[in-house]
This record gives sequence, C-alpha cells and structure tokens, in this order.
Amino acid sequence: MKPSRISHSRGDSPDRLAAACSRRHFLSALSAAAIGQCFAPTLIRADTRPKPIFSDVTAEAGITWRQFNGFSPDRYLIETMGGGLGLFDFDDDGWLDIFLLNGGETPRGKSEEPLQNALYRNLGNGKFVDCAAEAGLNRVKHYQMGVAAADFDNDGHQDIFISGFPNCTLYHNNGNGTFTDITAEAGLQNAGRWASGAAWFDYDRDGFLDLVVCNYAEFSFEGVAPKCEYVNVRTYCEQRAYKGMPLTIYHNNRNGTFTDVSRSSGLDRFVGRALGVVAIDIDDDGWPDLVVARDASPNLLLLNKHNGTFVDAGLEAEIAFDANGNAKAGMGLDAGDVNGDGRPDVVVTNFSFEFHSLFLNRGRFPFEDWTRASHLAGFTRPDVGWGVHFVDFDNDGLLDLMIVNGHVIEVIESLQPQVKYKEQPLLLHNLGNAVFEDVSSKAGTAFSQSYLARGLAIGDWDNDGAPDAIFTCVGDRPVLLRNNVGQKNSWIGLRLEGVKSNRDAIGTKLTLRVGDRKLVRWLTGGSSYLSSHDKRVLFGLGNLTASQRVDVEIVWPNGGTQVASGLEINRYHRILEQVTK
Amino acid sequence: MSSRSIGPLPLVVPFLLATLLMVQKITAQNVPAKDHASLGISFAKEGKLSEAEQELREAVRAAPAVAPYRAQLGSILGLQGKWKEALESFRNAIELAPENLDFRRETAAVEWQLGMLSSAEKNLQYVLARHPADSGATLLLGLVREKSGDYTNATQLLDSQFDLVISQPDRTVALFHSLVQSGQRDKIPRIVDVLKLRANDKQWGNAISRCTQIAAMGGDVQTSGALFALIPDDDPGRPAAGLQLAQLLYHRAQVSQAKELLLQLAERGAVSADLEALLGNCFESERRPDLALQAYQRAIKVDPSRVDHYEDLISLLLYLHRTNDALSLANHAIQIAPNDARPWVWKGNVSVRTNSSKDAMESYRHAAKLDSSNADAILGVAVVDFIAGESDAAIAEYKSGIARFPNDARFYVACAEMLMASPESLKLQTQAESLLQKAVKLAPQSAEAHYQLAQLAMQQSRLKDAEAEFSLSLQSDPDRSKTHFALSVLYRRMGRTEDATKEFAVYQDLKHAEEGGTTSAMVPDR
Repeated sequence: MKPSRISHSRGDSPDRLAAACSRRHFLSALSAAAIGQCFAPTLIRADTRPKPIFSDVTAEAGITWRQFNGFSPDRYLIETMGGGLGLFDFDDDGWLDIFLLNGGETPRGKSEEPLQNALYRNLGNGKFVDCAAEAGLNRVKHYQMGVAAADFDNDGHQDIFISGFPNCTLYHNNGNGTFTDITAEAGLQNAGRWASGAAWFDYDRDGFLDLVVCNYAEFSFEGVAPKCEYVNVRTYCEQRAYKGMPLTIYHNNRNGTFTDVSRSSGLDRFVGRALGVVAIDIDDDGWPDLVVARDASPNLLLLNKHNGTFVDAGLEAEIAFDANGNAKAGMGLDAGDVNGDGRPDVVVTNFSFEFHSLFLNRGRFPFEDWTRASHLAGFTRPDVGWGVHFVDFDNDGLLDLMIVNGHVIEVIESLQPQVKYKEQPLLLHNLGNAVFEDVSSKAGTAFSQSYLARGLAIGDWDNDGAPDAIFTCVGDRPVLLRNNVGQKNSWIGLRLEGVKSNRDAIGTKLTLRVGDRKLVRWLTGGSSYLSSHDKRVLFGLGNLTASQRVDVEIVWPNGGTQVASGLEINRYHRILEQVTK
Repeated sequence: MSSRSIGPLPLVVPFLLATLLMVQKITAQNVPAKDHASLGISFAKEGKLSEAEQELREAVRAAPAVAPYRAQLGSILGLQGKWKEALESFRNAIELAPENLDFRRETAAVEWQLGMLSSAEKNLQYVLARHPADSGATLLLGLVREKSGDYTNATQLLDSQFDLVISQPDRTVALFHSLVQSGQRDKIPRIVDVLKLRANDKQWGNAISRCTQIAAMGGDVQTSGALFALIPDDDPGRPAAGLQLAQLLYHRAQVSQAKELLLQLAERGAVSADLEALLGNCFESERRPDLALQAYQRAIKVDPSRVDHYEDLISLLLYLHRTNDALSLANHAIQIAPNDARPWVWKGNVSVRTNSSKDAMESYRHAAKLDSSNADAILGVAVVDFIAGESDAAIAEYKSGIARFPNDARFYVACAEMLMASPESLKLQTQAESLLQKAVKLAPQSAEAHYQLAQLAMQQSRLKDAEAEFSLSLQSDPDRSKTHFALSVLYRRMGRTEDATKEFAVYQDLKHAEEGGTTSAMVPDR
C-alpha cells in the first residue's frame, strides 16, 4: 500500500490513512468531495484528464543512467544485443529496486567515462536513487548482457547473476545492502562464452535454485570482425554469420558452489544461438521444464525427465520452426495462461516480417500456432521484438501482452520503408480467448515513441497492485513506466516463500478460484529478454468487490500443495510454504 | 553426272535430271534451236552446267514457244542452285504446255525447294489427279506435307514410296521426322534399320545425325541413343546430335549419362557454348557447384555474345553468395545486350539478394519496359514490393500479372503464397486455394503449388489430402527441404513417428546444403 503524505491531525492511524489514501480510495474520495482530506492543497488543481494506461516516469523517478554498448566501426554483433535489467527488492524493504546493467567496451568502442551499472533503490515515493557503488555492483567486469536475480542460497536475499562475454558474474547479496562477487568460488564463470539469457529454477526439486544459461554464439573481439554491408554501409552481420553454442546448466550444490551438469543433463547437445529462456512446468507433471528462444536456430522445449536430464520436444510441440522449416529469430519469450484454460502458453518475439509467435498449449502436442488468430501477426509484422511479458495491466483477469521492439540495422528504413530502425513498444489487450487488440495508442507517450528497446521487466514497483514496467534501450536511458489503470479493478498479490522448496518459490503454480472463475499463474524463472522480474504473483480480479474473498491453491516447486483460503483482495499476502512433518 | 560439279545434291535433283534425261519428243521447227538444245544436254551430261545453260538459253531464244527447251533450261538452272530462275523457266514451260505432267512435277520440286509449298501442292495435285500412281509426285507431295507440318499425311505418302524414300538421305530424314512428329513410333525401328545399314556411308552421316536430333527432340531416348551410336566420330554433325541427346537425358533426370556424353564430346574436341552450359547444369544437379561454375564460365568464354548463358552463371554465383561477382556479370550482360530485358531481370535478382531494393525495382521495371511480355520482370517487381513490406502492392502486382499472363502458373502460386503469408491468412484461405487449383491446372508439375495446397490442407486438418499434395510436390522436386520438413510435421501429427524422423533427417541434409552455412547478403561476402 502506498503510504500517504497526509498529516495525522485528525487522529487517524497511519495504517488506516494509508489504506484510505490508496489510489482507489482517492478516486472515491474525490467523487465524494472529500478533496482536502487526503492530499496537499496543491493537488486540488491536479490534471483530471483521463490518464494513459502507462506514464513514462523515468525523469520524475530520477533515473538518469544511460547504457553504453561499445558502438564501434567494427560492428560487433554484441554491441546491439545487450540491455539486461532486474526488478527485485535487493534490500528487503518491500519496494522493488531497479538494477540496470551496462553493456561494455569493444576494441574500438570506448567510453569516455568509466562504465557503471546502476542500482536504483526505490525510496517508496516514486523516486529512486543510484546506490550501485555502495552496493558493490557498479563495476563492469566484462561485456554484460542479462540479469537473473534470485535467492540461490535461500538466505532470504536476492542474489544476482550477470551473463555476458567472455565471462559471467555471480554476486551474493550480503543482506546489508552490499554484494560480493563470488563467481570464482561458485564456479559460475561460464568462461569463454557469450552468455545471454539465464533462468534460475530448481530442476531437481531439492529446494535449491539451479541455473540455466543460454549461450549465444562463438565470438571474439580478437582478429578481424566479420564485415557485412547493407547498401554499401557497414552494419551488423546477421546472426547466421555466428556459430551457435550449447546451453549450460549448473546444479546448485547447496554450499555456495555449482557444478556444470550440461553433459549429464543432455543440455550440451543443444547447440544453437540461444537468447531467451523461461522455466515453467509446461506439461503439468510437477517438474519445471524449459522453453528456450533461439535466434535462427530451432526453439527448444526441454521437458524435465525427473532424473536430471531433459529431452527436447520442440518438434513435437511445433514451436521449433515455422511451417516451412525455417528457424525464426527467437529473442525473448514468456509463458503464461493467456486463454484461461489452465495451461501455460508461450509467446516468442521474432524478427521483422516473421511475426512474434503465440503458441497455445492444448495439453497435448502439437501446440496450436495462434499467432494469426490472436491478431499478433498483424500487430507485430514490421517489428523486431525483444523483451516480452504477459501482464494483466488492467487487472481484468486476462493476461495482456507488452512487447518492446527495436531493429538492428541502422539503414533498414532505406531498404524496407515499412520497417523502422527505432520501433515503438506494443501494448496488446486481451479481449478473451487470447485474441488481442492494440491499445498502444492509449498506453501513453512511451508507446508512441520509438526506441532501440531490448530488456523488459515487469513488476509493481509502486506497490499499488497494478503491474508496472521498465525497459532498456541500446545506448540510451531506460524507460520506467507506471501503471495508471490497474487499480480500477480488484486484484490480489502473493509473495511466496518456500521452506522445503526454494525460498523464492520459483516454479510454483497458483490457481485462484473465485466463484466459477479459475485463474492460473506460475512463478517462472527467467522469461522476457535478459531481464529479471518481480517475484510476487499478481492476479487481476476484475470487478470483484472488496468484501469478497478468494482461495488460492498453491502447488509448491517441491510438489507440496496448499490452499490459502479466504484471502482479502486488493492487498499483498505473504504465503509461507506449509511443511507437514 | 558427277555430283562434284554441283555440290551436295538437293533433294529435288533427281526430278530435274529426269527432265533433262527424258527422250525429247520435240517437233523441231527451228533447227538451230534444236542444235542448241542437244548441245546443252550434252554439256549437262558432261557436268558442264554453265555451258549447258548458255546453250539452252540460246535454244529458248531461238524457239521461245517450245516448252521443253524452257523446262530443260529450268533443270539446268536448278542443278546449279539457281532456283528462282529455274522456277521462272518451269512456269514458262507450264504456260506453254499446261497439261505436261513432268513439267508440273519439276515445277513442284523447285517450288518445294523454294518453300512455296502451296504452289507445289497445287501442281502435284494436278499431276496426281491425272496420274494417281505417279510415284514422283506422290513422294514430292509427301515432302511438301512434311515441310508444311502435316506429318500424318506426309508419313502416309512417303511411306507409300518407301523404297524411293530410303534411297536418298534427305528423304529418309523427312520420313523419320514425320513419323516422330505424328507419333507413329512403331514404324521408327524400320527406319533405324535402314540407317544402320548405311552407317558406314559418309553420304548418310548427316542424315543419321539429323535423325538422332529429331528423335531426341521427340523425347525418344532409346532411338536417339541407338542412332547416335551410329554416327562416326569424325562426322561434323556428331556434336550437335550428341548435345541434343544429352539435353534429352538431362531433362529425363538421367544426369550422369548426360554428363558423361557431354564430357565425351568435349574430349573429342567439340567446342560449344551450349555444351558447356548443359554440362554446368549437370554439375549443378550433382551438387558440384565448383565444376558447374567452371563449365558456365567456359560457355561464356566460347561465345561471350550469347546472353542466354549468363543466367545460369549469375544464378549460381548468387547461390554461392558471390554477389559481387554476380552483379559484375549482370552488368556485363547488360552491356552486351542493353535492350534485352533478360539481363535487367538478372540484375534485379542480384539486387534483391544484396538488399538493394531500389536498384532491384529499377532493373525490373526497366526490363518490363523493354519487354512487356517478360513475366519474370513483373514477378520481380512484386518480389521487391514484398521484401519492402508492401504486401498489398505485391498482391496487386501478382493479380495484375495473372490478368496479363493468365497461363503463367507462377503468378497464381506467388499470389497464393502471399495471401497465406499474410497476417490475415486465416480469412484468405479460400482465395488462396482457388488460385492454387488454377495453378496446378496450368502447371500440374508445379512443386510449389502442390506444396501450398498441402499446407492449406494441413491447416484445415485434412491430413490425407495434405499427404497426397506433398507427394505430388516431391515428385516434381524431390530436393526441397521445406517439403520434407512439412511432411515430417504431417507424419508426426498422424502418429507415424518413424516416417516423421526419416523425413526430418532428409530435411536437415537438404537444408544444410541449401544454406551452405549462410543464406543472405548479411553475412560476410565470400
């Protein structure tokens, strides 16, 4: 709940006032002419025009950091691929903070100033302050790509894994606002590789989070960079100029170290240009699986065989290739129940004219390619998509879609007039049954501007129950969005804490029942592109009245089930895993 | 009479000789004219045709109303290859003696030689109406019909004079040609046997070569192969005949035989741009692009002015991602033939590959301007529209192409493909299917049309129909990776896992070969 800034002169308790002064109540209060009660006098003349769905509050929030990508005449592909970020509460104060990952320098792409990451601490009042230096997270130790934040050692604090080239980094959260680089001790260097997306998940259900790392391509800054031109202008070579790499999976040894189990798991067989990964129980057998988006390599659907190995069912699911046997340029992805049938569906962002793909999970193979039927094809035709997430932005109970886009080739507009170099993000509203309408024109100024967007993270950073967002841009500032409409509907948020299961509860399946409605959500590992998200699970409840209560069935990652009954809505709940002895 | 004096004997010479050698029953009014005529014939018998001509001209001058002198002069002129003058003389003879069947027959022979087939036919019909058993006229009429393209009648007529026909090489070729063209293949072996008997006679070498080519053009591999084997190694007609046979073998997918034959011809000194080009095609079929490249380059070197042969090399260079070389060559072809639409189309193709959409569009449009009947140019314009993301414009171009080239299946297929690739394809299935059905009517062998029909059937869960269409597609083009991929998907849906795995393996091999590691201009140029 958002704390109010009212005085306590009327003798009301801070909590009650806080509740009264949530956004919902502000609107009610306004209509009841109780204008002066909750807000400072200056706000009486506030703009009463309908707000857009999202407001770009980047400047207002104090976010000034800018990504440096090492742009150089050599046009190394890595320059245009980065843009990781994380939305997580690093200091456990109940407010989501923002971690912004810088790219890096290249041989002829140097920064005039020392490169820094940014860790914006959420002050709880819409403002953020960069404390990366104090936290020990400011240094850029290698070319950096993505962020995967999770509590790998179950000590209650979010740790950070940073993917990149030619190494990765693992920062342990010391619990006091600082981090320590424990990469070497942990054995997570992933040395010599260009790592991209990563996901924490507990593949063996031992209660500790393991890590899967996508490796993109064989790459080096040494020697002569591959040279490609478009209309005589040097630009980035397409991905096929780079040979793919196998995935890496690290088993958490539960003692601060990890073991590379890529070979024994079978994951090292899957060689390709992997970018995005989401860990989710796709076949509802209680074990987390992996969906991997790969760039001009077949997408993977790695089913967990419960014995430490995985088998690819991408072909059977018909998500690996398009109908003609071409592997699309899969970059980002997400999984969620978009059509309300209780099964996780998959969305993947692709290149221009490939359409971003939506696959509906019908409970059997193949999945149904719902790209055209959903209208996603028409909306995404000219776009090169990266970060993507299912998000119920209006809290009506249906998962909507947010996608951020941006091309790679600077001169593309001279060759394909319908395609832009900088592209607009998309906000697609779910009308039901996974058919979407484009509401970008109502979504706010950020959706009418163009960016070289890459990472996208979703999270309720202002704790008002409406999911917000932030996305990164190559060589530019990120864009922080505040959701203005989600509060108009009811909602409930759950913060899960595993006891026998991993503490973050990644891998949990939640089923909410209210009346005859059933909403299913998962706490996934990974997803989107190079980004880490709010681990609280939000359910939009539409026009449910405040007095109604809901029940949530929880299937924990380790298999235990639990029902949280009679939960009050329009607030967050902390749910601890019940463990029967 | 020595044939050396008149060079290669035209087919009609025997008719002319008949006139000359016939007993002259001339009522001589003018003694000097008769003397000149007799002297002329003597000279002719000795092979002194120019002297003979002089004398017969004197005879005609002295006795202009004597038809035989005119006819004899005509014969002498014909024997010297002076066909037009010969015709004039013979026509004059007919004017003087219209009932003379010999004159008519000889006139027809000269008319045939000059390609005046309807006049020849008239004269021959005149003769046959009065003397139906006239073998010469029957034979000649057969030849006339053969040249007119009335092969069935030609066969009948020539076959009725079989012994006369097979006594002379060109007549034999004419009968053989008529048999092939009229589809009377059962009668061909008889001719082949005749040719076999004469295989060692140099005078028949050319006839055998021509019959080989005719058989090859008629699609008869066995006959053309048998005849080719009869052609002496040093016969000048051997390379052309061999090339024709090789082309037939190639188109019958007997690529290695075609290749071996071509290599043999080349080894024996045959130098021909067409030979090298076809050899290049063979190497490409065998997936030997390096050797194909060399062959195409040799084809161009042999005849740099033959623009035709640039296309294969340009296509291959594109396939090998040597786009700069392809562009150079296309520009060179344009220099050689700036008003030929084809090089502009090729340049457009290269520009598409190098993502130079503007250049591509300009090239295709220029090609269309040079030759509005060049369908490739229109297709190219549509492709550029598609690449530029202007799908509506592309579809409009394809539809306009359908209107202009209603029998060109490619437009129907391409338009259907565009509709099915559209975001709105679910609503456009009926339209797409209709276009594809028209395409397969026009081009039953269209691999792409069947492929798209199969995809439509799959989308509509008509799995058996899809399987049938994929099979038809593969029959036409067994090496397209996407067809094998789609078939693997189909089999998987049908629960035929083993078949699915097999097809997928084939797809992977073909895909790897197609991509050669990389697929577009956005990779480092080799």
